Amino acid sequence: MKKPLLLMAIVMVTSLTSFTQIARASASDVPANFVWVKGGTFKNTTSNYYGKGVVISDFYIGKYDVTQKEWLDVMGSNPSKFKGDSLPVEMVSWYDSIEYCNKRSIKEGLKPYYNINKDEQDPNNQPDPRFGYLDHMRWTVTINPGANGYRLPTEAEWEYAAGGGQSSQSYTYSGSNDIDDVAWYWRNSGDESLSGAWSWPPIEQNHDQPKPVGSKKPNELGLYDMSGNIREWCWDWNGELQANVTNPQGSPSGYGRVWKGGGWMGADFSAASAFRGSLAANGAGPDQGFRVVLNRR
Amino acid sequence: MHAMSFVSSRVQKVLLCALIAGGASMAADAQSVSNNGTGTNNGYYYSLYSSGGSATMTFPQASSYAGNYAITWSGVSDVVGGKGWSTGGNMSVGYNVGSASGYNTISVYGWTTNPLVEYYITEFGSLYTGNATYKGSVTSDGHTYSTYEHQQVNQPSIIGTATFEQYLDAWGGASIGSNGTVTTGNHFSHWKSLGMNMGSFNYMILATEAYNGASGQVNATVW
Repeated sequence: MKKPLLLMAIVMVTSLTSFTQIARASASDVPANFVWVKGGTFKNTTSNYYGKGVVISDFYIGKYDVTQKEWLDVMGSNPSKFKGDSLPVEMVSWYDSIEYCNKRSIKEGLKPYYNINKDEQDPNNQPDPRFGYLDHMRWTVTINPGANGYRLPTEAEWEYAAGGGQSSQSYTYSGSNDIDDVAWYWRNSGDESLSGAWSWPPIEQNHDQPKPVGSKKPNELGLYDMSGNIREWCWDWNGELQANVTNPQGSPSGYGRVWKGGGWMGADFSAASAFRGSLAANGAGPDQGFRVVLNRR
Repeated sequence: MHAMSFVSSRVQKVLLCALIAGGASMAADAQSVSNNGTGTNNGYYYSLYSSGGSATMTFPQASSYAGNYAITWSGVSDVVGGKGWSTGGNMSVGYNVGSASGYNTISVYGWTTNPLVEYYITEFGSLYTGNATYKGSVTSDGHTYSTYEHQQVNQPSIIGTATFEQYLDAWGGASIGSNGTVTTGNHFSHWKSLGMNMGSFNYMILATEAYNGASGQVNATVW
C-alpha cells in the first residue's frame, strides 16, 4: 500500500511542478502592464471588420495609455497640457509617438520597430483634399516586421482589442454599452456633468480634462480607457478598410493617420470602438495620445 | 468658438450650449432656466449658456407655440441660447423674433461629421469674417447671403482636436416681428456647389448670442 501512495505522491508533485512551471512561464511572457490578446477573427458585431474575413494574430497591448511618467522616463520632457504622472501623455503627434516607441525599445534592449527617415519626405503622405498639405514634416517611416520593439497598434489590432477580442460581448464602447461605465468624454470629464449638445465653451469653462489612466472599468480583456480619456494613434493611414486579409496594415497612402477611441473632449459617438478618426501625422491636441503594442515573443 | 477667427468664437458657445447640467438651476417643469441649461421643451431641443452676469431662459408661449422661448440677460460676458433640433438637415426653419435688444447675432448653427463642418446661417447681426475667405453669394428665401469659408487647424471640435472647416452664410437683415424662413437645403446645396461639402448632421439650432457686458432680451419662436 505504501508504494502506490508514494508513487501517487510523486506523480502529484511532478504534476504540480509542471503546472506551476507552465503558469510561471505564461505569466512571465506577458510584460508588465501589458495584456496578451489571443488572435482570431472579429467577434464584436459592431466592428467595422466583423464578417470581413480579417484575421488578427496574437499580440500584446498596453493595459493603459502611455502615461506622462512613462513618457518622461524615455523622452525627458513632457509636452502635455494637463500635467500629472498618472495622466495619459497628450499633445503628442504621430511622429512623436513613433519616436517614443523606438527610444523606449532601445532603452530596454529591444530592436526598434520603426525606420525613421527625417530627410526624405514620404511620397505616400498625400495632401488633404480639402486643405492641401497640413503635414509639413512628412517623415518617411517604415517598419521592421520582425523586430521585437514597441510599436503602435494597427487600426485593426486596436479595434480587435477594444472590441474584446475573442471574449467580445459586442459592446458599442470598449467594455460596455453604457459609455459612462468605461469612458471619460465631454459630459463627464469636468467639474460638473454636462448635458445637451456638444459645445466647446461650456466644456472649457467646466474644466474638462484627461483623467488618470485606469480610473474607469476595463473591457473584456482587461484594457482600460480604450474608449475615452485620450484618443489613440494607430499605425494606419486613413483610407479604405481592408477585407479578407491577415493583419491588415491599412491603406498604402493617405493624408492623415488614424486615431481611435475618442477622448475627453469629444462627443459620445466618437468614443465608440468602431468610430474612425484621423489627423495629420504632425497634428497634436490635449486629447491626443497613444498606447503601445508588442509582437508576441 | 474655439479660438475661431471666423465667426465669433462665442457663437459656438451658443449653440447648443451644452449647458452645465450640474450647475444649471433649472426648474423641475423646465419652465425656467437660469444661466446654463439644456433639454427638451415641447418637442424642441433648447440650450442656454452664459458666463458672467446673469441670464434666464423661459418658454412663455410654448404651450401655444411649441418652439417659443425667451431669454433675458444682464451684464454677461457671453450668452448663447435658443431652440432647435437634435439632428439638423435639409428643412425649412421658420422663425419669428418678436422682440430682441442688446444681442449681437441670431443664426442657424450646427455641425456635421464626415466631413467635420461647423456652419452658421446668420439672420440678425453679423459675425467676424476677417480671417475667412469670401466664396461668393447665394439667394435664398428672398434675400442674398455672403458665403465665407474658414479653416480651423487642430482646434476643439465635436470629435476632439481636429482640422475642419467653418461655413458661413451671412445676411443679417431680418426684421423683428416678421416671420422668417431659412431653407437650409438651399445653403447646403450652394456650399456643395462650391466644393464645401457637408457630412452627417448633428444638432442644429436657432441661436441668439450677446457678449461684451451686454444686457438685453429676446423672445423668439422657431418651427
